[in-house]
Amino acid sequence: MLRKTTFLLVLLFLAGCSAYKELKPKPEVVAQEGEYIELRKGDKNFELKKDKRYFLSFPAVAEPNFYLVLQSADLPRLTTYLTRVKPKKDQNPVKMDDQDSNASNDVFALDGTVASFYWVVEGIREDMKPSISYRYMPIWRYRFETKSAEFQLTLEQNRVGRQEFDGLGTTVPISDIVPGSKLSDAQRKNDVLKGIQGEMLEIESIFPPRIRNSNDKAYLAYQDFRAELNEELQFQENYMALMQALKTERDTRGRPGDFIAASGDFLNFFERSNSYPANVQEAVKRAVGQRLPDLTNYVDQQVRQKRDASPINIPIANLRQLYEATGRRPDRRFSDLADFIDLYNRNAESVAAAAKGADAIRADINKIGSWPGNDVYPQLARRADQLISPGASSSATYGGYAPLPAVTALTREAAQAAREVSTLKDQLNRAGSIVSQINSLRSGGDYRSIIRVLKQNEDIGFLMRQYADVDSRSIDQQEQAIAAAFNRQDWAAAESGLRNLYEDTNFLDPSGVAARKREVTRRVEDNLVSAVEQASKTRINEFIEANKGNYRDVEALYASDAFRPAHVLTFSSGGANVLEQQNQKVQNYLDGLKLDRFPALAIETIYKEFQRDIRTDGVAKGKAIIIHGKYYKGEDQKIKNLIAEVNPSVPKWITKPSEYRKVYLVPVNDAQSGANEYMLRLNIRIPSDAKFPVYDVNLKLPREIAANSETEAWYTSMTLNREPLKNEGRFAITAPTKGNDYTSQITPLRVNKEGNNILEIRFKHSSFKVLEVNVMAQRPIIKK
Amino acid sequence: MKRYWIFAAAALAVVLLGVAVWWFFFRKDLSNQIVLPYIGHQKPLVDPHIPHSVPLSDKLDEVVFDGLFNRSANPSGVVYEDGLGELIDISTENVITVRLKPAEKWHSSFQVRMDGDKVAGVDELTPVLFTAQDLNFTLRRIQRLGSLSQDYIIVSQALSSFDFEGPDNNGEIRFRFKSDRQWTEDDIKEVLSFKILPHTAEIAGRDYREGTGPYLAVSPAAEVTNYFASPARQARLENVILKPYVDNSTFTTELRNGNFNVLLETPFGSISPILGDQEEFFYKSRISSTLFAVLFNTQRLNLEQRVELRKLINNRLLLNRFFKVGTEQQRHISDYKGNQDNYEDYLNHSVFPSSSHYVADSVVFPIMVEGAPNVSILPDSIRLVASLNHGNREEYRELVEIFNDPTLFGGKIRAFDVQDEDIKQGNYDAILIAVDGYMSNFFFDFYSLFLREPDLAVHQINLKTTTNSKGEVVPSPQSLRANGNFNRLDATQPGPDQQKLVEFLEAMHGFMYTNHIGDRYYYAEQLNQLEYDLALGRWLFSLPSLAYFRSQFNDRSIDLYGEATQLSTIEKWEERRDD
Repeated sequence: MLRKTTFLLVLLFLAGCSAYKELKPKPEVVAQEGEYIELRKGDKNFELKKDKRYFLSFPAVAEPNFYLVLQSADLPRLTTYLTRVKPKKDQNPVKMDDQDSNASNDVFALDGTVASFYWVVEGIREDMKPSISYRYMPIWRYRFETKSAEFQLTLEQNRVGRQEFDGLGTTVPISDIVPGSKLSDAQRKNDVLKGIQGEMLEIESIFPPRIRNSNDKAYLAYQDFRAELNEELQFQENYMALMQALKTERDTRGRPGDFIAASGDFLNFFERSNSYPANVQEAVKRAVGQRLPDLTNYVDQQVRQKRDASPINIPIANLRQLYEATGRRPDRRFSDLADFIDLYNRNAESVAAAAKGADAIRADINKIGSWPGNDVYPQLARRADQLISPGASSSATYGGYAPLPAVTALTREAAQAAREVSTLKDQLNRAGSIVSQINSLRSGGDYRSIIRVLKQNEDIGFLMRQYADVDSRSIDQQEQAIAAAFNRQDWAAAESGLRNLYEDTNFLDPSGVAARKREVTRRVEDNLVSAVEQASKTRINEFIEANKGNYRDVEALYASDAFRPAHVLTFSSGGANVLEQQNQKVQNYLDGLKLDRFPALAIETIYKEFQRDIRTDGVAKGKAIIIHGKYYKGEDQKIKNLIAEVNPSVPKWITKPSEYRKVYLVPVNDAQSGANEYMLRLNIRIPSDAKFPVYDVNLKLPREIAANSETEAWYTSMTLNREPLKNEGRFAITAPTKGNDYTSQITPLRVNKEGNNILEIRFKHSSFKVLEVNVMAQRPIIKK
Repeated sequence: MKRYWIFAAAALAVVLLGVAVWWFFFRKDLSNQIVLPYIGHQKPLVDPHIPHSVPLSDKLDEVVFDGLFNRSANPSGVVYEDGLGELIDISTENVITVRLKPAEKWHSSFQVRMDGDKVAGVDELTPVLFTAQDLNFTLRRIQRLGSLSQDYIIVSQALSSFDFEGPDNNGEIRFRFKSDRQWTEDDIKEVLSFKILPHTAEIAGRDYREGTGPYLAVSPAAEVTNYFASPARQARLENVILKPYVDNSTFTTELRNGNFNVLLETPFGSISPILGDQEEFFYKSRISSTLFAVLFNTQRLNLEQRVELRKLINNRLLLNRFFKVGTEQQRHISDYKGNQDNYEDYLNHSVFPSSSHYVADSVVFPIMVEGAPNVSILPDSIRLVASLNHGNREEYRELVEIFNDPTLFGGKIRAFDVQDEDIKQGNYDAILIAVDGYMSNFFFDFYSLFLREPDLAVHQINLKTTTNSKGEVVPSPQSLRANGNFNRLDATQPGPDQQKLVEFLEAMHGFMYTNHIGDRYYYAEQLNQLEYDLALGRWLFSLPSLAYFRSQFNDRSIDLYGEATQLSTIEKWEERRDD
């Protein structure tokens, strides 16, 4: 079994390798720089079969920048590539680029990423025995060897002729030269040669270290060609500079301004004139020198036309140097003019420097933040002291040029600059003192005094800017003082502060701060109003919380100061009406509590206690609810119902038939007496489809009330809608007895279908307490 | 001389022996019987749900029928007993649970075997049991009768719809009572005390005989039946016999002679001098249930004449003459309160009798007729008619005689005993009429007064109703047509009285239809005033109600009370045991 398996694996292996056949040359491939070596198997070329695929491995080289070059006339009939991975069937290898477009050459850049590269023959048009050579060679060599002939040819084709150059001013008149076309032709050739020079430098950059200074033939050829190329390029540079100078001179003829502007270029040419032969130097001096005398008029004209105090923008020094470079002497007129320009420009630059210095200080002042320290302005004052004030230069120093407008302008600006410097120094010195004073006042929070100091020095504008927020700070400080009064609940002080703030006009910029003052005043006022309101609320809430369950001396509770504002406001920015509204708002709120929430809460609280324990102080609780009810003006029906439950004068609604309803009877009289009066009032409003409803009204009475009903009437009066009810005819008021569980029935009680039916029963009893009566009304029925 | 005495004693002995023998063989044996007289041509028709002009008719309701609960009495007053139902529960939501008794048999479950006039025995047939279907039928009938039935008024107070849920597996049904009162057990039983008919009965029948009550009809096919104790119940006396008479003139004599043993209404309502032997008889008084009135024919007398005629007829004078007050023949009376000869109490001054709740309890205040009559505007002669053929013969005869006394009404009134046809034709200026069986409780029956067909031989109420735009049941003017009532009222014909007649009809219907006490009071006030304004009659007086019993009965077993029918405790009546 093992043998069978091994056999099969071998077959499979062989089958997998059978796609590419490796060509193994003899002698084996040697990976080192050398000449072309033919790939053969012994003395024969490899025989390549159509439809077969082959590969051949080439070892990598240790050095960088090496090419593997394969050369064969048969290569065009083969499809080949070089890859880093041994080829396999159905593999998609990464093919390395062929660096040469020549079909007979395959050139591949090798590197050290793999140990071997594989040259793969992928397609063969026909069976053949190709003659193929290979060569390992450095890239620079391959390039130079393949390009050197081309380089040499290009150099020759782009050389600039030297006959005109050599004969300029002697055999060749300068007037015969057309510098523009010469210059462009030279420039084109120069560009081509610089391209070659670039390629040469590129090849040079990959020279292996060992090749430098060696006797390698290719290296030596490279050095020779490079020297030849550099010499030609240097000549072309000089040639083009000459042509440029000649072209400029020719182009500025009749345009002295442009000539003056190009004076620097001419000076540059003359600086390198040693690079030219004497004939060339002389020819150029003549051409340029003969242009100089004509410039004086132009410059003079420019000076006279100038109107401002800025320096005169003419390179008069260049012109002086051109006179010197061309070997000519300037005339007096040019010299005076040049001297004037020099003086004028010096003075103008001095004024500019003073202005610039003052501007710098001012710029620094502008950079100073608000509320500077004490040392800031003294430092600046010292800098200002160092400013050189431009002298009040007299126009006389300009001699004949004194009347010129530019001179007048400069003289005026110099005086102005002097004044500014002086003022600046003065302001800085004062600012130092003021800042010190302000900082002292600031530490005491006395912004209003700071404002007064600043207003006394309003001329120092930068101070005004740096203390621009002093108005706001003053307002803030006042607001804080008012807030502190709030915190102390010193409403009078707070209100006084508010009034002062409202009336305060001591500001640097009253209009600028007006909006903020209004906003703060409004906010403070709002806060004051709110604070007074809140204090009033807090006080009343504490009062309510403390007294909601108090059922003794309830009437006195409603006279409490808690129902008045914590402070009655006397000032409002909005005027008397607003003041009245503000006070009224608080009072209204308190009244609301007094007439709604307080009695409602108290009624709920006391009623709960009343229900919980009716026997303990029941009457006091009930009376308290009644008194609270007297003050209650709310609309909460639940509260009204609670009041009604206790208040004997409020009829208790009977709206559902046959359901007993408990009614509390609080004595009508306030103080206990021998015969305390009780009143039960019911409003029978039971919906009925009868036109003339009648009811049996059952009153379950406390035993103590009904116990003696057999000997005397338990009630003193009983009325329905003020009409007395009496036992007569069909109408009966049954006596409450033990037998009927002390229930008195009033029947048949005929009521109005619509409207109120007030059943009022009064009785007296010696007890002084809250009694409970259960009441029920129901429809009587007709019986046989 | 001595011999003379001997012969005399022997002769006396022979006579006494003869008397004894005669008594022994010919005495009237009424043992185990309740024998009641009735006017032969006024056969009682039993309808447990509507009143009848023959008073015995309504009284027999209690003999034959049961309700779910029965209103009865004991010495202390009204009691409610389980009938066909048993009260199980009263929920807080007023759902009333009643268990229907599962084995209550209809009388058709039995057959009475007769031996001549006597019951030989009762055979049991296939039981026909009471079911919820019977209850449902009965409720539908009552609802259909509407204001004609007091049961309708009572039930409609409690039930918005005349139905119930069930029965469930326990035979329990549930009524949903209205929520406008706390329904006590007695209230509920009162509401559910209407008599129940079998569902096989005719819903519009005139005479019902099959019930579940203590006595079953002996001969259901006969026009008037006797009754025998139902084997399903425990009536203490087996026979209830109805004995016909031509009129009531001989009732007291017949009672004395032992031809019957119970006289529910004594002539004149007065104490009978021939029944004064307290060893033989006892009597029991109850509230009045018969009134006498003179109804005016509005077709022959205009309002002005009616007003004057009303003044002319002095009811106090009539009353005194009627009872012969102040004469040796004075008819003495005794009321249920124990008052003696309190004749004034029986004078009526309103369409509502003085005994009624409405007058007695001051719901209405009668407007007294005062002043001398202006007879000049009256016809020369007022033709007053009466029929002596339909009960109360003795009373009618007495009154006719009194009216014809020329010394009383100046000869203006001439009273005639007439036949029914005269009455039907309206051939009278006024008619003297007795209203039997009126109730002094809430259910004073106006229909019997003003809507009764003017034919004393029948009891027909001519109520016609319609439904108005609001969906309310209202009376139709067709209810009042001249030939449809004793007053010859006609609300359909134009005339000076028409508007008031329509109002009167509406008030009458409102009174009878409403189940609200307050509304009933209101309508009562209206009717009191309208009747007075229309001067429809002269309300004379009521008769005391006096029932005589032979002392065969244990008087303590017979409880009569207030408004209840006299026979509501009949199954508890027992004979006196001398031991």
